[in-house]
Order: sequence, then structure tokens, then C-alpha cells
Amino acid sequence: MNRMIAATLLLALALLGGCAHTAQSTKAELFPLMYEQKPRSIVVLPPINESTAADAPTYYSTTIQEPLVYTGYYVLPYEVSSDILAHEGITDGHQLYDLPLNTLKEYFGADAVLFTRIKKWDTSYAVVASHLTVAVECELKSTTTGEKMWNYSGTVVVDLTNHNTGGGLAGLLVQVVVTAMNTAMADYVPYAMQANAIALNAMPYGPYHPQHEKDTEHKVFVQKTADK
Amino acid sequence: MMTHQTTLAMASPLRAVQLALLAAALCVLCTGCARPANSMYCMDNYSSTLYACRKNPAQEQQDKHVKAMQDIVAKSEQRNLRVPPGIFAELGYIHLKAGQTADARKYFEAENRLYPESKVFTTRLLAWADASSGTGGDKPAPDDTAAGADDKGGVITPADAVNDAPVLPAGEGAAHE
Repeated sequence: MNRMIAATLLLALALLGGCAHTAQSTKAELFPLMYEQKPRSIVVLPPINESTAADAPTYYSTTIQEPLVYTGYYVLPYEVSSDILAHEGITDGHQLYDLPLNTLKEYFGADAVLFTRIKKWDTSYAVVASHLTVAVECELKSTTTGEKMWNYSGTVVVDLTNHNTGGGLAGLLVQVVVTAMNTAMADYVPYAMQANAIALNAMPYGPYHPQHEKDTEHKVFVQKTADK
Repeated sequence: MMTHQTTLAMASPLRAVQLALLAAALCVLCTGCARPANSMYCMDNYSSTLYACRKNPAQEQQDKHVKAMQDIVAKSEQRNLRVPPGIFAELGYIHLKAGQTADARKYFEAENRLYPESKVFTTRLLAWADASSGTGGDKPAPDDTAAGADDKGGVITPADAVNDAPVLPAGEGAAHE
């Protein structure tokens, strides 16, 4: 419960003005190619894992289909497209990142390819405090031109510490034990979903969304591209 | 503002606070929407049953995921919503793998009708369904240019992904790789 509250708070803060010092811009200014090329369909590639957790892609990949569908694009079912790609030896989006993507258009009929990069999927430990961090970066490339049409990242940091301090040394010990237990049980998936929500919120809406092509003036925070 | 009060609020786990903030976050997420974004589709338990499949890849979990997708179809129809992209195709693919090609066809056709964007993809899936129902154990191979991959000493390129014989749905897949 505490973790849920913490994550919700962080999400709310990030959205409601925690980034007041960060520049904002409109979707049309930031992602003009989305409005020029008007992609309708997206195939999602297996995640590129830059985190230290080997199993992160397995679990992360269950979190992307649903929110992406809600952005209004035709999204090929990841369970099917990834299975097909796996049979062809492609199990990591990195394998296709620098290659021409037009074959994916021919094969799947997709206008765009979504690359996802798991930047962080870990828990940092301290004596009485620990944090869980999920950070993802999403990037949409055109299968026609190979150009990057959109990219955005989402980060969720969760305080796993149980704050019910009992006081005294005994309280501290209990807290350490509780922290360790929370960490062991930490389930990243709900936070991965929140990270996706943050990232995909900056994506121009697709043809099945009521706001399609009406969101050019929607403001999003300008993210530093240097934090690759 | 409230930046550094985060931990304080967390110490008192008030459900109301949580809900209010969640609501606020959601409002921001749907700025400008006349109606909440999630009224577009019903995705129901899709993500959670899929996650359960990954955690425990047993048939029982797979069955629950199939049930969840069938529920999505039923509820979408009840609520007069479009069935979300990919649901019919995924159901079809699972049926194809299980050798139920007639059902697979029906699902692929439904996806095809509902989403014109899926045409290339569903046409390919339908060809596989035809191939596996028509010729029994034969490898369905709509593209007949399967030589590509071997020529390059195992280096896989997207061209190979396309030219290589398409994947055999498991169940009949022993011959593949």
C-alpha cells in the first residue's frame, strides 16, 4: 500500500509541476514527423535491456500493449509479432535498431516500429531505506523512411521503506527487516506501467483516438536527449 | 510546494489521499479529452493475465489469458465499443498453434475486417491457417524464398526475417529450427 501511495505521489508530482523549471513545448513542435507522416499502425519490438536485471524484458514486455493501444494506433499484438520475430532469431530490438526497417513494413504492414529501452529496473539498498526505480525510453521510427518520429522516456522511483517507525533500536531493527522484505517482494510491473504512461502521454494520438490530429498544441515537457 | 513532503504523506497511508492524487494524475493524463481515454476500449484483465503467463507459463495461465481476451470481446460488444487492436489476432494465433484452424481463421478475419491497417499481417496469418489446415504437417510457406538466411552464415537481417519461411505455429513446429 505504501509503495502504491509513494508511486502515485511521484507520478502526480512529476505531472503536476514537479518539473516546473523544465521547458514545455507542443507536440507538433517536438514531433512534427508524426503529423507529417501520419502513421496508423505500430509493431513493437522486443525491449532493449540496458538495466542490470536479466528478466526485465520478459516482464516489461507485458506492460506495453495495453497503454499503446489506448494512444489510438493499430498496434500489432506483441504476443504474436514477437513470437514470429523470435522464430526468425530476433529477440532483442537492438538487433534491428540500426538496420533499414522497410522489411517490417512489408512483413507486418506496420507504418512505425516502437523500440523500447529499459534503462533502469532495479532496487537500490541502504540501511533503512531502499528505492525501486523503473526507467524506460520509447522511440518510434518510421518503417518508410527509417526516421525517428517520436521518443520520450518515463521514470518512476518508489520509496520501499516502511515508515511505521516503532522508535528506539528495536524499531530500527524492525524497519530494516521490513525494508528487506519489501525489497524482496518488490513487483516492478505496476511501476513499469506508470513509466509507460508517462512516456506515452507525450505521444501524438493515433487515428482511433478522439483527439487524433487535435492535439498539436498539447504541451509536453521537453526532455534532455543527452541522457541516453 | 509539496516536493519534500512526499515522505510525510506516505507515512499516513490515507486511501483518500491516494485516490485524489491518482484522480489528479489521470486528469492530467487526459487533458483535453472530452471523455476519459479508457472509454475508448475495454482491455479488462489483459495485462494481468499476460503477466501471469510470464510468471508461470503453465497451460492453466494461458487458458485464463484466452478467457480474458474472450471476455474483452464480449464486454466490448455489450458496451458498443470497438474490440481493441490485436485481440482477435492474438486469439486466432493461439487457436492456430493449437491446431484449431477453423477458429483461427474466424479470428483473423474479424481482425482484418475491424482494422484495415492489419491487412498485410492478417493476410499472412490467414495464409498460414490455410496452409496448416490444407496440407497437414507441411510447413506453411506463403513466401517461397526461404534460402536467404543460410547464405549469410547465420547473420540475421530483417530481410531474412521476411524472406525466410514464415514461422510455423508451435504444435506443428518440430520441423522448424
